[in-house]
Amino acid sequence: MKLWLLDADVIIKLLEINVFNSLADMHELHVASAVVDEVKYFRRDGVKHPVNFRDQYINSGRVVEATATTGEMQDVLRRLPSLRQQSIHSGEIESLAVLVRHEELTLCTFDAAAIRALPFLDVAERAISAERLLQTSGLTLSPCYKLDQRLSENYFSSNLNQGIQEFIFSGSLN
Amino acid sequence: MSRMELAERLREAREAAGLSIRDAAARLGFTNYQTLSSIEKGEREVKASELALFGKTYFCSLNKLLIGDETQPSAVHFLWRQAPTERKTEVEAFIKHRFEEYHLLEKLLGLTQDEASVIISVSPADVRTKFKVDALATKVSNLLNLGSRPAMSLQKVMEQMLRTKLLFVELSDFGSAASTVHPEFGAAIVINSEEAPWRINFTLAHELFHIITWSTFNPSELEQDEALFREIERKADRFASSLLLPETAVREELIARSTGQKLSFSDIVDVAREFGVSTQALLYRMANMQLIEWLKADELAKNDELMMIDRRVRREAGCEVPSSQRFIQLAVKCLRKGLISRGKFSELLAIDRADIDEVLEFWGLSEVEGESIEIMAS
Repeated sequence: MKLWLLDADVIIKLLEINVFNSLADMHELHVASAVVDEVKYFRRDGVKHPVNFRDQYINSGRVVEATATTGEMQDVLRRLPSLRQQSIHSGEIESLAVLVRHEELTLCTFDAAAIRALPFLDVAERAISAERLLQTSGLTLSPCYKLDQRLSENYFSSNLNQGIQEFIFSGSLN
Repeated sequence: MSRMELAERLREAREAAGLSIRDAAARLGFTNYQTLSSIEKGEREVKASELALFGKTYFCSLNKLLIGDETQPSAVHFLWRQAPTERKTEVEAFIKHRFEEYHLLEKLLGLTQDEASVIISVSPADVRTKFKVDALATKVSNLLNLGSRPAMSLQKVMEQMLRTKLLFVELSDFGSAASTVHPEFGAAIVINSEEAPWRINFTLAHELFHIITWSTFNPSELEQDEALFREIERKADRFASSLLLPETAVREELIARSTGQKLSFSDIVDVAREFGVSTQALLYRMANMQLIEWLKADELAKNDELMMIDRRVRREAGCEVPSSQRFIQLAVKCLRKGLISRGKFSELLAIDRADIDEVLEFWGLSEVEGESIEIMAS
């Protein structure tokens, strides 16, 4: 699977629950440039682990870095409702812009605001929850990790439904 | 959007932030200012990764740079207690941007300014004499239910009841505090976060006077007329003193602690702490309550022994870093409701992405909304 990790939180969480390397072995992972520089460290078992994501994953070729143009970012912003334009971080806007361009990418995020933006960009069908990603990859969490509610399929689909409703009632369909 | 359009917006944003092309280039990490000059002339493409840095350096949002302002924003007039002597435009652009972000959270949650409680209207006659200023302070204290120890609740009341936007910013040499009443984002106060808590309380009360008299005295005129400004500042200080140190409560506390009409230096420091003000503020309040002579207050305010006790007691009490509770609460609420992304949340609160969960736990706040319950109409 060509997997697009939308934001730094996904990467940090996957590192935290110790499945990132397995996913990198199994799938072709892609991230946006702005996101790469936001991953500075993660916590595991209460300990802060610094990570040089660029050195460890990008320069080593384990993860593919992609960049959007300012025009593509502007296009993403224009498709979002005006308040939502300001409620998503610039790194995530770049990330969404690359996602729109690369139709072969499957997206993973558990950020509620980002999930709700997906219907406006017509990319909702290419998105999966972290729980589904782990399941389809055959990865199970170590017994000491309880799946965070935000990573669940339920959280993902309820936010996606909310986004679909917002999209329908925003008049963007007209 | 053409490259020229973006180039023009970047130049306008830099100028609005009060930055020269050389200063801006240095902050953006360009090795020479010609690179930025080429960008502003539309000769060089801007990378997506650079855009975020432009936004941060020029204190403006990504959508303002990429889409532009649909409506012409109203100018913000800040009334400074002690205006920055240099880089004023830059400091004000930064503060304005922070207030705009604060207001964005309100808009996302559907909180409009109309819903904020309206405070009393004040005429110039209402503050003509110091006794009238005292009466105004009592009236405001009663209206806001500040009780006998107003400093304990003033910040919360101003934030939650009056919806005054408070921001604590490291202003260092750039000034101590400023306030504004803006047609779009309402009453807002910025306070130097490096000030001691008891000074912050006094500053808050002082700025509250400016907020409630914003329409009474034209801030532009105050800036032009030094004598008038000094007079209004004295009234604001008097208001703050009367508000934070209610006469009856202060008398009761002093009597309770005195022995044979005498108070020790430690007692004075303790009473000041009890009311959340500096020892000097209490001494001058005691003078205007005619409990001591003004000369005595002046003398005590400079007394080495008293100040040494004050420093020791305050040091032992420790200092919490001040923060705007309402801003944090609104940001968390927006995060919970999926109205802002976690990236935006970490940007607003200036915390690292990996620290979000830990910070929420520290504040005792949950990111998850949980189930809703229905409440009965009374």
